[in-house]
Amino acid sequence: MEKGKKKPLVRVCVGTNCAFHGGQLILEKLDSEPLIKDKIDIEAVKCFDKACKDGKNSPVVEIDGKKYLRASIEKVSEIIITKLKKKGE
Amino acid sequence: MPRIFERLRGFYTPVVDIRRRVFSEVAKLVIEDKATQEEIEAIPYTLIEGDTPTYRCCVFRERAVIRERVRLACGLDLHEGGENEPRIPDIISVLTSEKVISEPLVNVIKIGCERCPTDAVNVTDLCMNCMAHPCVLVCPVNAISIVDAAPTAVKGRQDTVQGRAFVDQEKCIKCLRCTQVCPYEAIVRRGRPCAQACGVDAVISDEQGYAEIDQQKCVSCGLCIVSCPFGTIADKSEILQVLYSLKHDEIVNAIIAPSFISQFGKIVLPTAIIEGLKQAGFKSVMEVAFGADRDVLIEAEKLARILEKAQDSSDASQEHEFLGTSCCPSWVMTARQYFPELARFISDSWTPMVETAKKVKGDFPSSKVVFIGPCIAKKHESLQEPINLYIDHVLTFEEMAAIFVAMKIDLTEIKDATTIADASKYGRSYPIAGGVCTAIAEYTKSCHGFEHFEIAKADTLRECRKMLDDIKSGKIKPRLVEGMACPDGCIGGPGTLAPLKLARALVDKFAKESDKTEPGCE
Repeated sequence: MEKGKKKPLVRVCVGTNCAFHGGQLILEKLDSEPLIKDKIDIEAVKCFDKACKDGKNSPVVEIDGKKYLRASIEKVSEIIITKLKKKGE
Repeated sequence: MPRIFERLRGFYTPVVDIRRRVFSEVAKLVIEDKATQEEIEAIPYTLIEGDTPTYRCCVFRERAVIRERVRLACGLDLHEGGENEPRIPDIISVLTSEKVISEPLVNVIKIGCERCPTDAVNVTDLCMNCMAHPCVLVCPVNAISIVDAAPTAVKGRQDTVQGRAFVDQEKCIKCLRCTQVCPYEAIVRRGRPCAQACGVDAVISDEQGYAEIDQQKCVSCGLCIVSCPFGTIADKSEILQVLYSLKHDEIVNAIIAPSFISQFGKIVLPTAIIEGLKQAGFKSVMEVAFGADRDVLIEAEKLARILEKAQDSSDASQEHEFLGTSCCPSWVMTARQYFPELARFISDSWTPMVETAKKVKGDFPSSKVVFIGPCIAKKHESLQEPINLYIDHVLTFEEMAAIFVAMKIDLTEIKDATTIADASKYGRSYPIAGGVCTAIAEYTKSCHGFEHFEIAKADTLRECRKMLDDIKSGKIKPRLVEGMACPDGCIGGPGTLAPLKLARALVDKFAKESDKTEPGCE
């Protein structure tokens, strides 16, 4: 990747509620997927306060500042791949 | 290629989602003092809203499956015959802190079973109906023919397809030669994931073709549960009775299996899980690796006796003796069932769970002990006498996590408050396949001076049976034999939350960090 080009930042909530409802496995899948893992920055984070707290939105994943509620690996990968395509990856 | 029980692993599938939501809904009702018949019967409607089905033919069937799951989660038996009864009339009987679960623990929810084809060799639509047709030529029992004419032309069978090779299932002996010679890889063997995952051939079919578990053979390893892609096999849970115990101020202690380390990922430290359990109301929490340490001492001693005896005796005609590890109840049951003549070489020591529970019951008499681990076979073990005197309830890690979620305990928010030092690296390495025999072998070397002896190990019951076959026939002559029912050991158990790679790394790290260098007690 060229210098200066920022990688998409994917932050996955692993607060216990989000982790239990799939956050943990989203994180591990992204982190072990060879086609994606080096092209993004991945962070495991504690709860995004309001977005996570009532529990109905779990798991919550934030990509470049935008939060996705009740996220799934399909949805998250699709967003990441669209972003990478836009940047010509 | 991943083995059948590994194919769904590591994904948050809709099957996992439903299983976990049922657990957390049941837990929430108890915690919020709303565990009434009406509220529990409403769970299928909370989880499946509206009238559009997501996975199956209709919402009624989806709810019926969830209703059966709710029954099992509460510790009840399935409805006989899987009838579509909209109510759970016997729920009152399990709203208690007493132990209520009974055999059978592993159950097929028949209303959810898709009756997938049992073991069969089928020609797929990749078949080109080629001129050479090596499949026909290679078949030793003439089970394959080329169907050119209309389907009715072959003895009136409806399942033939025009212009394609056809396998007569009655003649087929599943030698698979046709699958190997087909230039288009058009012939496949397919079976039921549940039956393929079972290492003791306990998954059978009933007369209607629904999967059924032969309870005489089942050793409760739980691999069929995690292998069914329709989520139609489930085990009974004690989540409700444990929560009643905690809620009614009984003194409840937790003992936690050594694979707990990685269950909530990298950022949740082991001590945070311990502290979380205390916040949930458990009076004390002890590592089951403590009991594993005791087993290392006991089994190294037994192994040393065997090795001494072998050294002293020059009689080659003597029966080959070995020490089999005793920590995995499914492995021990399988050995007893299939190799009764070898089963006496398996150590008769208590499992680490029981050793640890005895210690806790001694320290806190008249309190309860709840085992928390990756294992479903422990639920079976806890029903046996006299083990039921030491173990009051068994939870899986998944069920424990549902309790945290329902109680709104967030482990990532827990400040590191406790320390944990119940066990040495020996006991803490038990949950990884090969860890048990390595621990016993190392200790046998350092404490008893025996260094050179053969070790055999196997994970999954099918592999364990192969290993015992080899011992029986004399092909291998190990002195120390480790058997594990779950793939890769306890870290691959059906009640786990963490992916394998992470689990292996963190369990290993935690074992090495132990301050206790010896498995000796106190």
